[in-house]
Amino acid sequence: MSPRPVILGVVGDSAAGKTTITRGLVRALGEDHVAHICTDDYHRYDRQRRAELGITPLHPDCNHLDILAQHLAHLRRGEPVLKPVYRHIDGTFAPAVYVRPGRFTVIEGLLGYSLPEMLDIYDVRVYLNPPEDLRRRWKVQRDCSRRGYTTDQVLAELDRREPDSEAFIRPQRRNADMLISFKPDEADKDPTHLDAELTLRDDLPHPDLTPFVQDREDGLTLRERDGERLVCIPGKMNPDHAAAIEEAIWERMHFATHLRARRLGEFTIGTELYRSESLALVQLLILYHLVTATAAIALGGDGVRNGGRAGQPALLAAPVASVDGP
Amino acid sequence: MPRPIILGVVGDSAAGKTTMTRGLVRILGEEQVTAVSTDDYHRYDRKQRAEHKITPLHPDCNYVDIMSQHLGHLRAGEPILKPVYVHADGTFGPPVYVDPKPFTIVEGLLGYHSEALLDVYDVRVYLAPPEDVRRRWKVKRDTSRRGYTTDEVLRELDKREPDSAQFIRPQERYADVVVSFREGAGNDPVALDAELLLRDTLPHPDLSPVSASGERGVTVEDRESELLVKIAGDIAPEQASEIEEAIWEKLHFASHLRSERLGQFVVGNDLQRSASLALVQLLILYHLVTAKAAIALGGVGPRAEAEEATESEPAGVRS
Repeated sequence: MSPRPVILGVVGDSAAGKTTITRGLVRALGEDHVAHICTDDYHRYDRQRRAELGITPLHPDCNHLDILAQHLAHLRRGEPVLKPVYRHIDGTFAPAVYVRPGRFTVIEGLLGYSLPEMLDIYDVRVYLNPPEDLRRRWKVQRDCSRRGYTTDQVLAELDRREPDSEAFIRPQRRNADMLISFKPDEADKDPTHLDAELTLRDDLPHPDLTPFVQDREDGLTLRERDGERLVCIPGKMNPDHAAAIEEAIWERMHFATHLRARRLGEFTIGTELYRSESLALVQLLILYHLVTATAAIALGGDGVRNGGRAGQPALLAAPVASVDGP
Repeated sequence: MPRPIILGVVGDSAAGKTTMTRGLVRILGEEQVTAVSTDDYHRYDRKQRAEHKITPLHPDCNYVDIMSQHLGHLRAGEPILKPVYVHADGTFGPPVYVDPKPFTIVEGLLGYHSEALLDVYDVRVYLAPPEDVRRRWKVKRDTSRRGYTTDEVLRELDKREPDSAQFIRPQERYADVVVSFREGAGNDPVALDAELLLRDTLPHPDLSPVSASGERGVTVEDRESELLVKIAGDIAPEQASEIEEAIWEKLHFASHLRSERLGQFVVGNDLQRSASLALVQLLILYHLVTAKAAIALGGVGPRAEAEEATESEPAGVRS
């Protein structure tokens, strides 16, 4: 029997950058090994019905969250599901499709952390938290260019959704292992070099970035708060510095160097392809957890959450005494 | 809520599944029953089946794994998002949300195909009419309600025969109750005889007092680990109601269910009634009602009890 799949959650409001973050990871892990579930497929009402009922897709009542939780549990156990299909193109439902979990399964969507029983499913929980004005700009850009709406329609929709965003989407931030905010540099607002602000919580053992802290404008900064660390990766990070950090993280994944072939950090604006150092580093930090969780599980452990206590005996052949120190 | 009671009604195409089920749904109350057709779990639509040259009877043409997953959820009292197959045009519709009700009736071709499926049911019924009767029923239904010609239906039946023999009919051995309606002495298509195999995987009501009365109508033959019960289509009404009374007497706590009639069926547009069908439905109802009562009282249900009692039975029964 193959080991259970490793499950990544990428949750955030509409146009928070979920697909951009995910795409690079899928490329690095290999399309063939990744099953991808978008929770929009679990909408309860189609677009027309939502309009009639005056309900937004952000509202829990507008989604089959019980079925989503059920399907996530099946996937985590390595079992297939018959997944519903929501078509963004016309806002209707299509026949269900058969989905087998991949070695990695990415759950992407609005309400992925909304029920307590969902939380235990994930090996890594990411929440995307861009500043609202940036997210609004992203949403206008995407929905006008790829979903056929006008700017006014998108802005009106954003206002209509705001109460539900506040009540149901943003509170999920507290359940994330990694809270990620991309934001424009205060000085020059260059959209291709966004700063990344990460909140890393202690329920996952994140790689120690302390040796790379540089107290300068293009360097990495790190602040500790109780139970979490605040990391800022400037968009204009010095490429050598970025490469050194990447190198150190890959060093900790020495058993997975075959994954290095694919580039991280790519994204599109309109039809142009760009690359961002800060995005690449953020993706690498997520990849780190996926890779170590897979390794731990392959060795009979239970993953890496809560320091992977259950998995540790299988990983460490060292004497018991060495477990003492942090 | 105590867990739902699950009835399986399995048999080949046009074996009479819907007819059998309809009376039970009526008597239990529509709002008490979740009906699931395993046809909804087809893997390919009609066009794809033609391309792949595969019949809907073949396990590879169905998501048997998802079927048992979903039935497991329903049995645990959990909702499912059920796929939808549209017989009218042979395509799939969007799935629908199904909340389990106190009874779930699972009707279809491959309901007993896997071990995981078998464990789901409280009562397992298999419909086994003689092939010539079934062929006639299928022609009648598919030409009148599914828009095929007689030749098309007959050709389809021939095409399906190997899969019927390999995958459908072998499921008979897993049933608690095997039902064959067949033409009796009178050759009356409305008053069919019913032949039942009652297997000792469930504790069936004792019919020996009624069959011992000497009147023609019902005979009971005791075989190893099963009873063969024959109910004549032209059973005398008094004898039929005597048996019905005896069974209802054992269901005294559920007499409020008696308001609806059993045994109804349609031929074309005509509503008919069959005394033998009514009795068969009542025997199935007996198991549903007693299982419901046992579980409401914290029991495990008649099947589990029967299994416990025969724990020492030789292995390989499900070979």
